[in-house]
Amino acid sequence: MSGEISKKSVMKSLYPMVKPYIPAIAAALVLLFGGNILSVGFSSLNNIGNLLSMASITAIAASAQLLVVLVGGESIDLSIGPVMSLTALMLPHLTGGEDGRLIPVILFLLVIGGLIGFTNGAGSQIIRIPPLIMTMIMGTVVNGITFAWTKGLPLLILPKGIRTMSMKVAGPFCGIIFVVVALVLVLEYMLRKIRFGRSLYLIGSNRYSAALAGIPIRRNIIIAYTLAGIIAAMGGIVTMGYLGIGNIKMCENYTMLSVASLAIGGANMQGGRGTVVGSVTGAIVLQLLSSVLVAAGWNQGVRELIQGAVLVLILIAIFAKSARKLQQ
Amino acid sequence: MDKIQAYFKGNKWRELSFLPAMMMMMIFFIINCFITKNFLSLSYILSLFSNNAPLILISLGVAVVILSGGIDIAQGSIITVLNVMFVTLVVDNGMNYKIAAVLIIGAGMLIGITNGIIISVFKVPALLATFSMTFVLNGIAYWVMPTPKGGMPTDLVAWYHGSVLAVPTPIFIIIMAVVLWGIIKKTPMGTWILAFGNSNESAYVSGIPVRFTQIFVYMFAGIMGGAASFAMTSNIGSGDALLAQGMSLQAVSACVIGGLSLNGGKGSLAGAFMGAVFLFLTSTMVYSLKVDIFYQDLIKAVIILLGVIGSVFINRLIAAGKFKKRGAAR
Repeated sequence: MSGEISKKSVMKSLYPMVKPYIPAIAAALVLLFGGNILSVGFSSLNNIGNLLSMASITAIAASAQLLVVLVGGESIDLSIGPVMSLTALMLPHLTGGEDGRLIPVILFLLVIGGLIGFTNGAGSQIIRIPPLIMTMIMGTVVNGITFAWTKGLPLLILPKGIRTMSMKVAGPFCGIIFVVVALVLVLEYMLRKIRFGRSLYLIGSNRYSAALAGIPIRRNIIIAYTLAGIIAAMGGIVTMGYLGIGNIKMCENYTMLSVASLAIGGANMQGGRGTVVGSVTGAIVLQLLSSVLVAAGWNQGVRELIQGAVLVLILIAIFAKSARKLQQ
Repeated sequence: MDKIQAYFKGNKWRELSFLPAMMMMMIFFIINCFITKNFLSLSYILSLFSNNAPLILISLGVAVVILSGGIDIAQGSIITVLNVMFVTLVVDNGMNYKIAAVLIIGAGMLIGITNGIIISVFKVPALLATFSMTFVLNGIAYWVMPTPKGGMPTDLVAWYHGSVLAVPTPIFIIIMAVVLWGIIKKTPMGTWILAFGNSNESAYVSGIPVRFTQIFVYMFAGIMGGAASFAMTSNIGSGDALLAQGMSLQAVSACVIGGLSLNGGKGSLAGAFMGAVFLFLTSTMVYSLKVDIFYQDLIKAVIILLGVIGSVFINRLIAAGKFKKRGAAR
């Protein structure tokens, strides 16, 4: 008897935690079954491992985007894709395929990503260029650097160490998945338990009261942009390790995918609400959608069209609801 | 002369938000005079305008959107998708290019109205709405035309490089766009747009048809996108699904450099025009400096970044009244 009650109360207390992800989880299950109808073996454990690995790349981009979007005030980082491409292509150039140089090079690339993020943050907070413009132009600058550095011919000799990303470490799951799990745990801990992380939510939901509470707003926002740059840089490195091939604009799409993952994962696009776990769920849904479209045999144009349309519909669903609330 | 002095001493300083853009435009014009061969010849300047009329047109469209407090970063994709449509209609379906031109400008209008409805009725933030529309439009373009295709009638290309009523065609199209905006500005709609950009709430409270104004603004931008696509297709005579990739960014940068405030209500279309001219003068400079091709993109991007920083910074100083105080002290 008492066991039943406690079960119920546990369910009740769990429900609000799970509630924001229900649409995403339902969509994922539907897509998984749909894919299995289109091509046999779609929902086999092996393929799920592959799907998760592909989704990991989007998940990293989405985590970076989340930190920036959380602080609100039209904050958005459109330079995530270019930063990922930059670090992905610089990795083989700088290491020259030697394992010994891998760690210093990774650290160096993370610093570069951090610097780009810092520039974004400083430009948008100190000079007060709107974040959209600042990060968009920064994206073209970063693409320019990539092109100038690689001379349009990416070198693709990778050190063996980084290729563990694409090796099946446990069962059907590649190394890249474990990197993402670690990242999610660290970020969730930061956002839930550490003062800096929690201040981001306050800044995003009400900047004025955050200022009254004595939170250094500009500084924290700049740190958020810097962290986003570092995570994006990490995303690029991991992507290169997983794919092993690449071209100049290999990660260009991940800017859009990161924004879409946040929207699907229940984050508020105007700041103040959103979790890393939700964004990762969004990334998985997007990857499933894309894979189902591939299984259906549609070309790249149609896939992009459908992904864009899905994003538009989700945005309409989210904002039409809040617009109705406002009117009442 | 007295009038000019009074103009600069008075409050009008604050309204000249396009001054930084004008200064930068003139500086790069003078630099180009020295380093670009035949820069001051009529034919060179004409060719500059025929290549860059699309950029100027979408900058004007985006400027009107920004005046109303919104933003449109789908313009490059609108150009691309309409370019692909135009070429498909004329080359594959053998349609007369004049009818097809009217059709694509109408299609641009429809895309603009769609954007406007998503933004005004469903209250999706303009940035996210136009950002996601980018992918829808690019997807359609790539779907219809996976590989570039040429073969537009030579009449059209000749007409574009010729002249209408003794005015070179690209410049004629730009003048038409400016006249269109001039007419809109004189109607109540012009006031509505500025009022809505200044403050959404007060505009709503004072009985301005807010939704209609918003939809109208994006429709105007869509028409400009259609005109830009028409100009671009007539200039190059072919279709390509990767045609205008960076142009949305350039148009928005042109507006910011031109002193338009992204909060809406402040700035002028003259600023956007000068910003656009500044952008293509920098590209011209980078080309004629004969920089190694691998560094061109980087240098152009850095100049745009510096231009935006400079313009935003100077305009903040002007708005803070730093310059005015000095004048008043005398």
